[in-house]
Amino acid sequence: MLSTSPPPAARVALVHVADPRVRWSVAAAQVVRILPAAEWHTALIDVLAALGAAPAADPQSRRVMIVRGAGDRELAMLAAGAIDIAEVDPADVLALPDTFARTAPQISAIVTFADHSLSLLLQPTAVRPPDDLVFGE
Amino acid sequence: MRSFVPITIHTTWVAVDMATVREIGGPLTWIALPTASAVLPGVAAWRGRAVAVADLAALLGAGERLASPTSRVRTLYLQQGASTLAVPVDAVREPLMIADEDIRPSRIRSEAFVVGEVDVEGHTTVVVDLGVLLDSYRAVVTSALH
Repeated sequence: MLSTSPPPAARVALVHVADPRVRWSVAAAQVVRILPAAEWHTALIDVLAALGAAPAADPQSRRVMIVRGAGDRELAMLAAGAIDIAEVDPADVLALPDTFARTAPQISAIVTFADHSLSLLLQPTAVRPPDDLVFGE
Repeated sequence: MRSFVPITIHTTWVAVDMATVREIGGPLTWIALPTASAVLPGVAAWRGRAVAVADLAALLGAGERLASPTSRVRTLYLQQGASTLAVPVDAVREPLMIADEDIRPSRIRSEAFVVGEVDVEGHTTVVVDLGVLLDSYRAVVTSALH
């Protein structure tokens, strides 16, 4: 007998960063590689600081996450905090309310976890690379 | 006559129109947005979607500000048009009926979202208009980032 119920949505793999300022995540499909900050010698983006948070403080737990940004361009994002990869149900990825979505396209959604904790889902294609930034902004 | 829900933030009493209240829940887990304002500091998950969190302490200058991820003892989920707000509060009282003529001009607040004030259980209680509140702070969030 054929089932008429829709097939379950495929789970989405996310890379989660337990940044002490606020937990954030990126779709694993957009992550190219992750390496220690000590091995990275060019500009990198502290996305949270660019959005208005305090700069990351703890240099011990820093890594660099290379992600695919707009136009398939690689971006080096500062990952300050423990990193883990976990799959989530697409139903647990909730788009931001309009109030925030229009003003902060770098944050596309929140991710809810079974323990009721939350994470900000970052959208690398909306993150401006460092060489697009203008001093004084 | 309209029904209002009295709530408290620290020692400040506030009344919101019962027609805007979708749910009264327990403590809220929420996450701060780096781009957000003190009044709308972040978002929470509610009924399968993300909703803005409003901090009445920041709005009214009453008590300690919210600090993610913890909240207050109760949460009001308020609906205004297509917008939903999660509003953590210290206490929620029994709804009560108030006649429009019993709402007097506020002697203690002059903000646009303040409709007036009434006395509830011997406390001066600020009656707020959620729609005005949302419109004014939506504009603040937008202008702060452009």
